[in-house]
Amino acid sequence: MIAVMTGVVPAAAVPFDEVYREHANAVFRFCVSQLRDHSVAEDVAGDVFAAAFAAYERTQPEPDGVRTWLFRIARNAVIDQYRREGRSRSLLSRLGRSAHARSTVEESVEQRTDLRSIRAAIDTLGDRDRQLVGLRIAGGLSYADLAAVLNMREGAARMATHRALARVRARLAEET
Amino acid sequence: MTEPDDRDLQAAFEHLTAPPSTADYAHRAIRVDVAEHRAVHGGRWAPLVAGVLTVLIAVAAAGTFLALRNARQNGVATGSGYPTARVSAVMAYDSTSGVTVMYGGYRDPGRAGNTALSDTWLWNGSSWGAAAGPSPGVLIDVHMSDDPADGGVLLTGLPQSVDGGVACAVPGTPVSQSASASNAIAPASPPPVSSPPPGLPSGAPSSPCPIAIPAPSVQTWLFTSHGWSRANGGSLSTNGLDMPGLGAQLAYDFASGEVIAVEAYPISSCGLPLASAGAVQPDLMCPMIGAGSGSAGSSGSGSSGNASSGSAAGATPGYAVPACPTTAACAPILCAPAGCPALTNAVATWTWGHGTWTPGSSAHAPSAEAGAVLFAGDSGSGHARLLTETSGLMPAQPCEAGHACPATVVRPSTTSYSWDGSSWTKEGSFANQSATGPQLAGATVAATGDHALVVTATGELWTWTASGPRWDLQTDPGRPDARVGSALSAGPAGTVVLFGGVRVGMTNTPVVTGVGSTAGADTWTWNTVSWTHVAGELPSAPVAPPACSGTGGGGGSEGCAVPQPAQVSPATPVAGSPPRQTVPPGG
Repeated sequence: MIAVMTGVVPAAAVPFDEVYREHANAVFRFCVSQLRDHSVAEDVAGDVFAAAFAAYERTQPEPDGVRTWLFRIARNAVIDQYRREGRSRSLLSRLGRSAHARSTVEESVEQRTDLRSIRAAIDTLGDRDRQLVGLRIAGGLSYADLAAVLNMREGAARMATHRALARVRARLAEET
Repeated sequence: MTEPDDRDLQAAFEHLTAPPSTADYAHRAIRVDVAEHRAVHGGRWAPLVAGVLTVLIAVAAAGTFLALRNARQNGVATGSGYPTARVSAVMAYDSTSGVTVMYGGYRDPGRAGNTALSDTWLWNGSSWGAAAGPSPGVLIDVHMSDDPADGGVLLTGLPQSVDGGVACAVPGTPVSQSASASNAIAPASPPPVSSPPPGLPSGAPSSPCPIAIPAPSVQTWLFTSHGWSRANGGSLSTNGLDMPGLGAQLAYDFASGEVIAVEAYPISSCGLPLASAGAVQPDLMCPMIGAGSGSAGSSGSGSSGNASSGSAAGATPGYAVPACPTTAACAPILCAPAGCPALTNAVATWTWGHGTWTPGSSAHAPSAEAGAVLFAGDSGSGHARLLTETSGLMPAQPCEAGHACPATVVRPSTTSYSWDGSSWTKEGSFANQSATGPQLAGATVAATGDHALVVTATGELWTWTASGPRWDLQTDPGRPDARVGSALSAGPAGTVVLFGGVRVGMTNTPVVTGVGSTAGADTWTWNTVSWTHVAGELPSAPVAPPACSGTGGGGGSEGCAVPQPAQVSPATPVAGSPPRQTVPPGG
């Protein structure tokens, strides 16, 4: 198959505001699932769409691939946030303060009990499992999309997610 | 989308909706004050003037629109077009924006007028677009990696305009001042320092400086949605250890969120880094044509500095086809000085974070290997992975620089290491299935999922499967022709993308037989199962050298194709497998 291309394809067919409308909730939920602080999740989700908006015309993702493209950006943004939190925690610990004193209070008001429990259970997972679970139950991704975001094989992603979800359920069962 | 058994957990998130602040993406990306354009209205103008103003306003509005649009792309507007044919470009997947970035390369190898390129192209999975904006300029020995922590891809390379100063290559010896002061820069590798870099044994005996090598200064650049920017000063500090030198491969370690750079030094049993005139690069990584690096999903090869021509730093933009390990000219680089029989390689590691390179711990540094490729692997843990290989030919006794090294044939084996955030952990080692396993030195690698695709310096395509672990030589008839100098990287949607390069005479034929091939402008994708030639003109077939008229392998007229006896050195990785049969084209 040889299709000589002489240029880039026309600008993405789907306007970005439609992309936002379709995926904003899922991306935000994923961020909430990954980050302890609700307001930080809001910030990170905003950053995700800002980055995506800046790159949208340049990268021109295929309409079918927009979802995984967005979640790749979201995953990277979350990893970035972890790094920032790590630095912040390190600094605060030197000052003898807790990095999460404020957010815990806020979350108790903002989050439903079941969400708080699941968030706490997700928190006990390792990095990869936390992302798998977040993409699956908060982002609502199919296993194929999930595998594409994490650059895994679909079968491996499915199995790993099942195991991680089992650990979440076990943790929830312990609570009750 | 979600299977029934996940619905209970998913329900906890369903009430969450994206806050209005997240819809403010346009303003997060750009803040353009267009207030001045609003005030250009008034009813007291004469109709004619008003008409003119209307036109002006329309033009201004169009301009504003374009300005906004460009600004939204943060200055990295893509143009149309298709990359020109090239070799030794470097590529890396930018996971932040989901495109593969290709930089530089050379227009046409081994020919008069060969031109170094410094353009940047973006592959979105189906088409190429040129990245606008400033370029780092012409860099040689480039290596690139995904760097989502910094929102783009990281590039290291040596400015072509660098004047080669000279310096001593052996730790503990004074820097030669034969060049002007400004030129007497510390060499990138091996560094002229009193202590060896991480990964090298300490306590190397002091000895007279045996060589003078050009002294380059490697630069680090970052490509993001804002375009290219210099990531740091780029000059080596006085000790020369604060950043990787020439030949260092890059890969992103998702687990730690850092770019990892590895560089290897061939060292003798005397503890001395081996080098000789014209050998700046460690041969292990051999950043020659077609050599290269892997990086986060990959990289191409990118170098023009070639060992056979001497220095990498002072390398002319000219590009010589012969790859280091396969040419006799490289033998002096690879053979240990007399009296230093055993040879090994040590891997030094750096991490990139907060805008600086940090030398890693020397603990558990891989060593005693003959070839290595680095890539962002292990899709499960996100840890970068390093594959090293023993040579198929190991030194049997001391050899002298400039002479063929006696060697003992051993079965090559591959060892894999995983980066744990601070050091390398050996995962395992296994003997290759056959004596003709891939030659990792000089290879280019791209990882996708559980696989890594390796293009060797002789043009072979090998697949590494981590879950095996195992190597498989690709024999799909639809694969790209055996070539060197192609750029290779992970691409969108879990694919691998390959661009350009020059063809070699045949698989397992020394690269030198690629003379006569013109560079390709062809784009290929690999989906871990099969190859697709997406677009572009293939590299031409090389001009076959005449068959040698002499008998045996030792004779033959100049320029004819004769199987080359392995000019093997202790560390020779590529020539290092058991002598491969070289069959002249056509018989």
